[in-house]
Amino acid sequence: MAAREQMAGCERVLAALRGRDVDRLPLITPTSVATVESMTATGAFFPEAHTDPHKMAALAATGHELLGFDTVAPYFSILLEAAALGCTVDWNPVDAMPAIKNNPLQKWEEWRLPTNFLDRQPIKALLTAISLLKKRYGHRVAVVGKVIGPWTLAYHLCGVQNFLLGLVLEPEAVRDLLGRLVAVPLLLAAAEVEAGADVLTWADHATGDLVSATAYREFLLPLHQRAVKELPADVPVILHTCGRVTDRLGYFTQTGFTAFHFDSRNPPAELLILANGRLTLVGGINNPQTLLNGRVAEVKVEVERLLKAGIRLVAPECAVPLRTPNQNLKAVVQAVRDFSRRQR
Amino acid sequence: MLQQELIQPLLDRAAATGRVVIEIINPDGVVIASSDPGRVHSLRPEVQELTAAGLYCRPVSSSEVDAGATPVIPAKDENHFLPLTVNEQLVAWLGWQGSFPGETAALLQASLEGVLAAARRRDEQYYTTREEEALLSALLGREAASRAEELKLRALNAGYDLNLPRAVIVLRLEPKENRYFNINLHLGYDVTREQLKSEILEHVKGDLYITAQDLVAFYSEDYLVICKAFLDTDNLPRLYQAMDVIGKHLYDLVSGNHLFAVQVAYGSIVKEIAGLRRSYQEAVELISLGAACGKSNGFIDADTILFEALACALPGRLTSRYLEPLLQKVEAAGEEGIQLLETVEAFIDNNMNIKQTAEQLYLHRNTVTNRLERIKQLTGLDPATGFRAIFWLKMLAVYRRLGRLHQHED
Repeated sequence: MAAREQMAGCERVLAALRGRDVDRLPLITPTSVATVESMTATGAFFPEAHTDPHKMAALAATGHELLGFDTVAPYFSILLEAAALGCTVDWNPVDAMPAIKNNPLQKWEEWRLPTNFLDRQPIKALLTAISLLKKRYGHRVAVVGKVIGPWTLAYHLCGVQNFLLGLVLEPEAVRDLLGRLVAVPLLLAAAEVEAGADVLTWADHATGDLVSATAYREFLLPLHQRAVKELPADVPVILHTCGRVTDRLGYFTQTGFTAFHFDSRNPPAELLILANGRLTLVGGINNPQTLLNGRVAEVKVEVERLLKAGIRLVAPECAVPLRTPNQNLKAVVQAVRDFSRRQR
Repeated sequence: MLQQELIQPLLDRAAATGRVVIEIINPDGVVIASSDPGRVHSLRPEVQELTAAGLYCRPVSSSEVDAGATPVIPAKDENHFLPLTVNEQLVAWLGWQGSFPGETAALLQASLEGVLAAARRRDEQYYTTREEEALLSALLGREAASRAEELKLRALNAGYDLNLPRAVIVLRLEPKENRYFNINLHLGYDVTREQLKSEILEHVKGDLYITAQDLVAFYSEDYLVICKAFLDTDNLPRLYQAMDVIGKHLYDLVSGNHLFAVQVAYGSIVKEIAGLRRSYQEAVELISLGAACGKSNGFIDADTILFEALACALPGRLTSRYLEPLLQKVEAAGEEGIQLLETVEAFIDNNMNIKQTAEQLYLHRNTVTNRLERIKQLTGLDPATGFRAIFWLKMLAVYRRLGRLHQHED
């Protein structure tokens, strides 16, 4: 099998994200595939692996070494920037993702990007982990960096409900805050690319259950468009938003992001029509039902269904639940490889 | 599912071109449409076999499709079948006997699939709307509290998390159409009204402040209801501030139509399913009160009709014990009694300032003083003695006004 492959993993991932021909369909993970099983195999456990660069890199490497993906993604949670910006984070035990304990920003107008942001511990750890992974894999595997967009950062800093009420009560203050917060992912994205990231995931949770498509258009779309212009041009950027998004995918196509990482609650056929070739679609596998609780055969059926529907980059819809059996993630890899082989 | 009026002309035209009989057969093998009407309802057992064998995966090679070489599955005796799929699901088979150009067959297949997909989307939208209406109806019904778990599950299947705190916003759409002789002459308003209601529903669903968690549906003929969801109730004053902004915004959004007068109000934010009915009733009461106070259009802010709401909320033992006897005394005094009551209400509203009251009513200040003395004699309540007397006099004025408005309504 390996002998027939003509492209290096990184090359394959980059080509596929840009809609170019590939030797086989790539196996990409825009978000975390860290599991308790992988932690046990490597000895790199949560919570240390969130902030210790060596454990972070070791755990991320399991995505390729143990599971067989073409990518490694060392940013497992969505809280590193928040922690660096003063949120108290409960890093939680081995089988739980970290959570915010307090939202420190009271006076939105006073927020400024700290000058030493990149030197703060959680950020520094991430950048070091990316460097370590790049050094280890070169072009064999694509290193996926991740940044948290201004919308999600505002959730962390202000509190989700409080920030969303701001859209209604103080829209100009929200606009102003988001305009300043966007500096965080822009700065971090540049640093991650400098450290060796081949691909970036931009996580911004303007999801349908929390905000309307109109709010996305009014508040976030202009910032996303601005960000894309300022991000490193040679690195594909994957927008990640959980939940139902078909009502705003048309706006996502106007951002200039390379790809969109989608949730299984969105019908792939509808997404493909809406994306209309302007966004590469990544994701689609249901996490709780299929990956966490499903059997290998069910995983394969779901992967096959997505591939037949026209999704070329099938992947878990979001960070996988930590107790996901590795055999189910391996089944994703196997199903994509089998499909690719049949296609050839 | 089958759009006979759209599909039949396609079949007839294709059949005439190819000089063959063309049929659509359901996956169970029953002919459901045909260019030869006599064949409808006949059975094609070979289609059952094709369906059972799973031979309906679509071609994946674009070059094949570009070349018009859509794989045709030949069965027995020159019979040919093509699968018709929507969203990867087999919905029917296209069949014909004999020679028929491959490109025409592929075109016909694509056209039929397009029609079927459009029909399915329309049906799904229709059923989603009906399901949302049914869910809302159940949530606002008397039995909701006893069916809480069942309703939570049902809502979850429809994508709504009923564990979230919610407030009910009601938009009352009152048709303002020309009616003659109090009978319906079918002047075309019915169709326009229903069309406009659908447009308003979609408009509201797509609004800036409405998320996918907000259940939006019509409840009865005239009430568009939104069960607005929030994440928590940690800061209730801020939530209600936001509700005021959203209420006014929704009024502005909908009020531009030419057919309906619009009243908008909302009820309390509640954490339980059982509370949704109460929240809805509060909103409807506000709308009714607003109408009773002459506010038949607009956002009904609870603060602007605070005294009316309070008068309505007084328990019977207080209205019967105090307000009714006082009202009888005032009304027994005829026009003068009414005049006295209006004067004392103006006095209260002007912060017990005689000069301001006199200016507002275009009276001499001595006249105001005299009238206040007269009301004291008539009711036994002296506004100068403290809040209790002021309260009852204000309530009396509001109670009389509401009663008069209700009489007009009757």
